[in-house]
Amino acid sequence: MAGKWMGSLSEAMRGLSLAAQTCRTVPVRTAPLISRRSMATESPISKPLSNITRSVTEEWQPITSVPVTIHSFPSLEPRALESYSAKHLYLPLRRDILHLAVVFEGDNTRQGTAQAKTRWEVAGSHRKVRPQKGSGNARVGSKQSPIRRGGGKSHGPRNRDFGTKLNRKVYDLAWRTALSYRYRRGELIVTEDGLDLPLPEDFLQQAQDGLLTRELEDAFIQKYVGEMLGAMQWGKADGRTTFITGEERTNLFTSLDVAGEEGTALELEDVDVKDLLETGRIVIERSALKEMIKQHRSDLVTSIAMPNKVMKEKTLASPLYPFPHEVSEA
Amino acid sequence: MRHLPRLRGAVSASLCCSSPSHIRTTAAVAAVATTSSSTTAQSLQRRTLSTSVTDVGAVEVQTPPQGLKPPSQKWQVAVRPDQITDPAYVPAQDGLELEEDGGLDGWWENPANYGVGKEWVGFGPAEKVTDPAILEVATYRALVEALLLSQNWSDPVAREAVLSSGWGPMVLTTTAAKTKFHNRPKSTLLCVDREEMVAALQKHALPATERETQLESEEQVETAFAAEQEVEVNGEAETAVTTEQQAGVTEEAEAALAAEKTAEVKEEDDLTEGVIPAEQAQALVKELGHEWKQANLRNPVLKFFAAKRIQKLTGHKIPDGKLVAITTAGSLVKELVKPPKAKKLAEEIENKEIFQSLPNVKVFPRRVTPIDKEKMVGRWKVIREELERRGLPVIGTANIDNAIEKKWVTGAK
Repeated sequence: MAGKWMGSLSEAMRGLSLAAQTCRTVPVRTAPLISRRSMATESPISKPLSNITRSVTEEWQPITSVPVTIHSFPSLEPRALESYSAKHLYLPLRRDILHLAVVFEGDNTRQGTAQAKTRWEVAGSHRKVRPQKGSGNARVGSKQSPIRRGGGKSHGPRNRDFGTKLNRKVYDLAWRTALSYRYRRGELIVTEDGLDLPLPEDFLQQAQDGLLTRELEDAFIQKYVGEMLGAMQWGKADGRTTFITGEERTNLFTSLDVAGEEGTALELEDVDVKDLLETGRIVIERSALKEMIKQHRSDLVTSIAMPNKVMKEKTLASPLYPFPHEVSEA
Repeated sequence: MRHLPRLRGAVSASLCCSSPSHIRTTAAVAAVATTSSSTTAQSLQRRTLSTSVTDVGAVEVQTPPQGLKPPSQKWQVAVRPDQITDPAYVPAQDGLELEEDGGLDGWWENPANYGVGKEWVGFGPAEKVTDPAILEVATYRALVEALLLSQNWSDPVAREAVLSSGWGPMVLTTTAAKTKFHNRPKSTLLCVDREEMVAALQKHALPATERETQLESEEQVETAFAAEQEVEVNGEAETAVTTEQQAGVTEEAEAALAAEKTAEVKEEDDLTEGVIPAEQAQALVKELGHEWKQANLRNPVLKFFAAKRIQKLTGHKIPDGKLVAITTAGSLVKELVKPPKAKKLAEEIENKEIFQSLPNVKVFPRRVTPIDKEKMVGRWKVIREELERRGLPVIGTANIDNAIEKKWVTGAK
């Protein structure tokens, strides 16, 4: 506050002095604001914000649903539009929760099978190596002693479970937070069901006829997939792409197995939160997305059956286009 | 280490693009390459090991439909070393001495083998339009068309046809689509004479042969503007203007249009390439003014239509997450015109010209290496010449290892 006072005071004084010297020819260069600051901590005066307050009369209308465009693949033509709850795909980013989930997954993925033998597990006789006294050397109990070569390991790794726990609701929130993060950034591309990679007919025919060796097949796929994803700006140069399908699709999965530097393909059951955060974008088929959200909404729906209440399953995605009345007519 | 089964066969593959819509099916009969690598006489002079591909009397492989050419299936087994009669033959003593002949490395890099027409074709032009004026015109046009399609167009087939059509003649953006903005708090996009707009859309959708005659009557269309009707964009509130009045007008034409349109879609694909010239777009931008940019955009379906049209016209894909935040026509234009984010900090600095005023600051796109520093003072050429003269490696250490004494001193293993 003191700084502001001083600033305005000095400004006023300067104005006065300028006004007093009317015949002055050389204009005084006012120092930039930053050098006029007082020593006191003061936030720089930025340009005035537009009115950030909301009128009392204006009703607060938070976003409750967000649209999801369903694309065809691989032409990426927008085909349909669905509406999802903002609690599914428009959650605020919570890095802490994502971190918890990724660490939880990492812990539970650890194999924990490393094991070194202790002195009691190393094979061999436990006879005293040499007499306690008189040899001139150090006393030795048994040859399995940890200080001896070939002996046991005193504090070596043992089989153990590294798994940690995370509340189900927190983990599910992390899933939807990860999806929301992708959605906001425009990195969640939803395709029609049956997402697969169409390979050229003549190539498949020749591969089936045995005209191509394994190396030639792989080289073709690498070139074809690389060019296709490159043209889509989805390839290696753009951070790779994760394709998620309900079940394994042979062409897609084999192709991305071969051309792994361009992207990766995962079945729904193999997907983790970490997978959702890794590559440049997520391409997921419509039903897989629905199933994914359905499996991870324990914090939104109750699993407890109430005796006098009929549990109503709310639809996850309500179609907006093609217009529902047109579809029902057809 | 392959855990997955091999690719599905062509016959059983349900999705192996039996009708490859994403692939340009131009007549693609690639020229059969003459891959005569070497004659037998040449190959005998310097014998290579094992199976070198020769095409002595090779059966001509049938040219596959799209020009994909598999290698010849004719293999010749090399002559055993003890049966070679050529006195010039010197057996290799070392694997490094062996010559490589033929082989299938880079087989598909040859366009004659790979064929043509395998490039990906997306929805919209391959190259994104970056000219701001064209983008603005495209946005305006997309919004007008989207508004009409979302409210007036009852035939799904015709709607899809319009959504997937290219630029076509500039009917909508030139004269017919005159709009006016109403400065009221919670509304509104456009005041459009709907009948005129529908007529314009239909005219736009007419086959190319009929277009020219139609275009002549544009001036009449322009003068015919009279009734301005308000269109509420906010989705939840349908305005008093019902579609019933237009239904009679539009549906007759739509029925006829649907048939024409479906036949015309293929033709339209060629037209997508033809984006309007920038000068024309700039003139249109001036004509359109800026008032329309303040219009509210809330209806998700309308935005979906607009985004689809924009993708078709300009190649810009607007993701849903961005569309949620776009609430006015102006912000839509802004989103399109905004240049893509630079991938590297150095590019960002260069684009924004941040340190231009500071004479002692230079920004490099990569690490400044010792070689770069030598180059800056003009010493590198001399150093390189001297190194070459002494037979020393110019870059790196070649096979010369560190001094062995270093290992003794540090005790490193």
